[in-house]
Amino acid sequence: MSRIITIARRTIVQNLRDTGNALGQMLIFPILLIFILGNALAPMYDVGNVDPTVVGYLNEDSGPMGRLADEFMNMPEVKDLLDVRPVDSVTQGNNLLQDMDITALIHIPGDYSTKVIAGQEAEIAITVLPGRTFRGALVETVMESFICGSNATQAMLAMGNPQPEYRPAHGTIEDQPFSVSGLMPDAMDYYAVTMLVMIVMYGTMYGAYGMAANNLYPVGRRVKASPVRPGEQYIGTTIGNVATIFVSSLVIIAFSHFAYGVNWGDNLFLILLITFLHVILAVGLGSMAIAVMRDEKRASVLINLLVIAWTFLAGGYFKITLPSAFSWIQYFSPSFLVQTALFNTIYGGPFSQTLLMLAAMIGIILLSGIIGIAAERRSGQ
Amino acid sequence: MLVEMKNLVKRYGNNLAVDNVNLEIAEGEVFGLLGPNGAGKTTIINMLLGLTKVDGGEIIIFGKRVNGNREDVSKHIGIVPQELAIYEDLTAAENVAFFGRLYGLKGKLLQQRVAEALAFTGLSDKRKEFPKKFSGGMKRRLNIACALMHRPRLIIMDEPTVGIDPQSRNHILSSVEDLHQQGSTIIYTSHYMEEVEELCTRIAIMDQGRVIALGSKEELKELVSSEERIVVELAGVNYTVVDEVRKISGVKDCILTDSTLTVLASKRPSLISSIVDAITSAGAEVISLSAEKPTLESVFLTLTGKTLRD
Amino acid sequence: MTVFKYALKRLLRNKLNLFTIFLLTPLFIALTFSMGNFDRNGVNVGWVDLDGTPLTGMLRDAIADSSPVHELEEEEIRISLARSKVDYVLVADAGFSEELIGGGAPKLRSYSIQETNIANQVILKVEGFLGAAQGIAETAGGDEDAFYAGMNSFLQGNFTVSTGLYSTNGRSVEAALSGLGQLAMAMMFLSTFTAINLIKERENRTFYRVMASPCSLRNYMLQNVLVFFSVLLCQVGVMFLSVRYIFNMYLGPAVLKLFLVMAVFALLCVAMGIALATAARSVRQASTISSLVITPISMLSGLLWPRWIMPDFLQTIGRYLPPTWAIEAAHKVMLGKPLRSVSLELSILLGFIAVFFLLGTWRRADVAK
Ligand SMILES: Nc1ncnc2c1ncn2[C@@H]1O[C@H](COP(=O)(O)OP(=O)(O)OP(=O)(O)O)[C@@H](O)[C@H]1O
Ligand SMILES: [Mg+2]
Repeated sequence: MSRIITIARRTIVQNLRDTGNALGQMLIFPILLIFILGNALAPMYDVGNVDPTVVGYLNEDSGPMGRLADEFMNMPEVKDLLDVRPVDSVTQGNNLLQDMDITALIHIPGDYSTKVIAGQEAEIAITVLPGRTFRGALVETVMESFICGSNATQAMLAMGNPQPEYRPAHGTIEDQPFSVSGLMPDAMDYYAVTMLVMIVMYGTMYGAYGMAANNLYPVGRRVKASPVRPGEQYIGTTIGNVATIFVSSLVIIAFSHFAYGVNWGDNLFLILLITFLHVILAVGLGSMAIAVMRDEKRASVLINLLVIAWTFLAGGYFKITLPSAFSWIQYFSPSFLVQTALFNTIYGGPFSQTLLMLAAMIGIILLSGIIGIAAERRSGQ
Repeated sequence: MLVEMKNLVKRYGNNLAVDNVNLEIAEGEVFGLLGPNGAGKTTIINMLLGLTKVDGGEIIIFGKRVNGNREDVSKHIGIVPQELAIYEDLTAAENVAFFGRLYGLKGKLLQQRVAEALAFTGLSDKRKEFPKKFSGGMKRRLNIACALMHRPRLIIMDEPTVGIDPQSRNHILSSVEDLHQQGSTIIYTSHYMEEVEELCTRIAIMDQGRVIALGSKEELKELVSSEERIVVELAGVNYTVVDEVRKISGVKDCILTDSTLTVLASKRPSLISSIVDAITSAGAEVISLSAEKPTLESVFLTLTGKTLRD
Repeated sequence: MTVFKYALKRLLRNKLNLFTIFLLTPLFIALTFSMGNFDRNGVNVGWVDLDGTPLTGMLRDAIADSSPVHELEEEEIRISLARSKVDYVLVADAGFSEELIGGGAPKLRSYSIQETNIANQVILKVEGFLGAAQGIAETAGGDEDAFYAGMNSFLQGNFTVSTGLYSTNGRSVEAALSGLGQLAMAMMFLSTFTAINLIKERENRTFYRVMASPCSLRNYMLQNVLVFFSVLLCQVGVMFLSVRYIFNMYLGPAVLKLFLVMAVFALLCVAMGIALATAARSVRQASTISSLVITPISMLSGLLWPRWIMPDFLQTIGRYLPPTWAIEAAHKVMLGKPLRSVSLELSILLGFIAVFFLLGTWRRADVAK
């Protein structure tokens, strides 16, 4: 037992002395990334109000439909949604698009009214900047509600109504607003969780390095030559690394809470328990990678790639929505298990699911532990 | 003179690493630089190579000042650095060829010289292997081979035999001898007295940045032959012994550790009988007594008060 | 060119490095981030249909035209909103259609999230649709068949809206641009490799030995710069070819000019690597610094997502980072603008290059240390 403690203590001291290297990476990196991601990608997680979308508006139609369109653009409901900048020509509109001064250009062609009156198909063209999925859909929806009136009028005329009257049915929706504050993560909350999970996952490196130092380097061999029982060295190193990473996680949780106001929920104990298990899981996986591959460089390349893949699958960089037929793939990412457990705990998700995730994590830990110790025995002989 | 150092000074902050050194080395010499750790040997070599700024004085090699002519001068120097300086991911032959090319060798001549250098250091059969797999001694030999293929007029070896097996060491020593026979001038630094005694035609002893003795090994031994070191094993020690011995004329120092008394004195007849008398009169008994002849090691000890490998 | 030749030889010999540099890492990052949609998601509408008539079906389809619709049970409404599965829920009660066709103005129930107005566009659309339905019901005078005939002709009306993506020459360069961003990030990682190699030579003293030879320091640095520059150019070339011919993306009308822009960026990467080699004391420190710095820089410079999605203060920070200018220049060139128009971006990059090379200048006095 005292030998385990000796080895654990040595591991912790080594990790601490290494400040500026690995430990700095374990703390500064996530704290920086939480800040950048939390701010840069805030719109993706924002439940707040949407500002009016800035659109260029080119109306070349001087007929009745053109006038109607002008009126429509001036409706208060529309003004809430669109910030309309009239333009004089397609070229001017395109220039504004290119400089990103407007998000979309609405173009009503000169022959619009003529075509409508002749009963031909008439089209309003919208040009949207690439990548503006949300804003693009919004502009389209608004313009569809404009042509809705025209189509309705035409349908009524066709039905034999000589004086069709169309009015949008304002007030037909009875709304019950519902507050979600505290029920949903904003970007900062979201990335605090996923970056914590990612950085603990990178803790596999510690596990790998510890295992490599024990088995592949002269110093480790020397320890083996001392009266240390097989397994003791492995357990001692693991305890030291687990302690190091767990304390870094605590720092990240505390810092993100106090500096960025991240919501970690009411059940801090469960959050810490999940994180603790996750740390053990990461260190165990790292050790296992070395035990199986017996080459630190290769193992660290593999781990690096795996952590990227797992983080991505878990939606750690940004939320991903897989088609439901493929959503099982996410369960292959340990990061996903941990993230699900954490989000459930913070935002009141089903506890049964949290338990399931914890059980899966314990399973992975046991498996990697068994393989790690077996490999240690084998190399010890 | 092949190499001239005039009033050479090098400072690291407040530390005078090289303190006003004047040395001249003639063509064909094997010149030994001897000194304890931190004496300034490597610093001098770095200055000879133009790899460290000279704070004072000047260096002239092959009649040219190093400062301003580094590239010209360095063409004819081969350096065996104190620490290994070889590429782990190039084979032995590629390592030698790489440095050969840097010294301007090409084509057939290069191939021929590479083979020669490898043969000279006994690495011919390892030519296609990577130094990763070499033993410490083999790496040292490769380190030397990389300095020789351009047949330099001046070869500088900074502790080439540190930490290796006797076999590789002998190989290295005999190659230095061969190089000397072929007419190369060699500057050789070492901690090993025997190596320097065996190889060098002239020796400079350095301590704390200064040259404290210079000459052939005979001249150096002459320096201390006027002194004698006498070691006496005693029984019934008491502290008046030291006082009594110190009173003897010619005795410079006298140290008592446990029951061993070391006496440093100028040579004179009946010195030993006076010492024995003094001891007995102090009430102690002489068990054994030995007078040591001067060796380079004892020269060193007398001059610096340090042993070489501390 | 001895240093160049052997450095290249040693680089090529290390297969694991090559594999990671050229293939795995860039491919991985590219794959990962190419799947990102960095705008706010569209409005997800929950739909509870307690009426179940053709009319409510038409309404649902109309909404689904522009916003994803999820059918829900009444009990699921709150949890779906809280889990952000949906942003807005509409409920059509039983008897809704009957009342409307009969000339009435029945109401829909809705549940919205108090903190946001995101559903306003859906509301506008639904009100428009119901306004039309009411008008048609009035015209049909309560006749259900006439009503549905009218609704069908309404839905197939002559008025349409068409939406296209903006691009100058009919083909979008956005996909390739995001690929270039990821390439730029991979190139910066490779520049770490430059630094690591130089530091290794210092650590294993071969640098000392080279400096003792007639090879000058400037010559040594120049040849090393050349090695890494050519490797980076190869990387850009490989990436261009695969983007063009494997992923079939459009690189814009002036591929050579684009290559030139990326070549300037490649030189910047080498300069950064050299500055890093000067600043870092050990290989481990160099790789720590780079991994701490490169990812955040890539994010702030808009290499992983478009810059416009970020709030202004982050965009301002981005303006002080060199990759921002590289990707900006690349974008302009891809849109078919002449090189003249990117002279500002290129001169800023050249300025950065000069600064990094100055920071990275090694002096001879350093050699023996
Ligand atoms: N880069 C440096 N910076 C500061 N001090 C230095 C540096 N290099 C050497 N010194 C100091 O200069 C003195 C001479 O060092 P040098 O390496 O020349 O000794 P040496 O005689 O070669 O010793 P050794 O036998 O251990 O190789 C020492 O005191 C050393 O601490
Ligand atoms: Mg030395």
